[in-house]
Amino acid sequence: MSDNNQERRQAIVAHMEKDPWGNHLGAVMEEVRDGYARFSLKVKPEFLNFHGMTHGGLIFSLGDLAFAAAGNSYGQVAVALEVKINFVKAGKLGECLIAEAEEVSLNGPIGLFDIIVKDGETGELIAKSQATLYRKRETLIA
Amino acid sequence: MNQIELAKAVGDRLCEGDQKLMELLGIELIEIAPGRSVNRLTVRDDLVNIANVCQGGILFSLADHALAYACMSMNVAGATLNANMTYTRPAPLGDTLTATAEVTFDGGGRTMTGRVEIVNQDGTIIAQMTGVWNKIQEQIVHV
Repeated sequence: MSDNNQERRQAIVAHMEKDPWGNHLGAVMEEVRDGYARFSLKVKPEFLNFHGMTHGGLIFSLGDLAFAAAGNSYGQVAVALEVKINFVKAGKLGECLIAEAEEVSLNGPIGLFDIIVKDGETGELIAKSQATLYRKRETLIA
Repeated sequence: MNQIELAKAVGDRLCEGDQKLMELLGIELIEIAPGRSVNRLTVRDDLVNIANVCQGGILFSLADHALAYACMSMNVAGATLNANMTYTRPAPLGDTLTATAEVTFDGGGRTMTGRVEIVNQDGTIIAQMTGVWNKIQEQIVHV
């Protein structure tokens, strides 16, 4: 990557790191490159539902943060059109969740992504999603 | 206790157990009836993304929460197996969102299906969700 591209990537990442909800949760952006992003999140007591399992919305949110970062990684504003999530295993307190989003196809304004959320320690799959986004003409940074 | 009273008792018990989570997300239970629930959320400044509109994960959390309460309103616990979320309009900071969930199929087996619609204060549809729910043979309120 040229210095110019490197600087641009850093500016895009710095912009995305301001995400209020991601910061409120304590999600950490581990890696972002073209069409790919990885985030981590430690499961706190307030993320649990009355069953004592991680609320599906929090698992979804972590995957959505990775999806947003991967989708916006080129610096063009992208918005989610739809996300289909399958929950395969319950999440538990104290666990460190890892979410990875990866571009499968990018054709004109429409992008298709695969998202997985797994247990950071054992690597066991917790949820898997497929999502589509729409890329607008605007860019994230000037 | 009839079915309507039971659904209300289930709602009270669930809200008690989900108190911290509902505070985190700013979700309020408005109504619960057999096979149905209505939940509300105001888009706070900690629930937005960098575009200053409600995070997709929050919209999903609200929808999933509403679906869960509708599915558990008959006093059987469970969890979401899968959900398909479609975003139709952005919800800017300050919007009041109402999620209405209803069970669309319950054949008495282990799974059921449901749908959720999220509207803003003007009645504009913000997001729609359909989902499959898996029952756990466990009561929420012991009757």
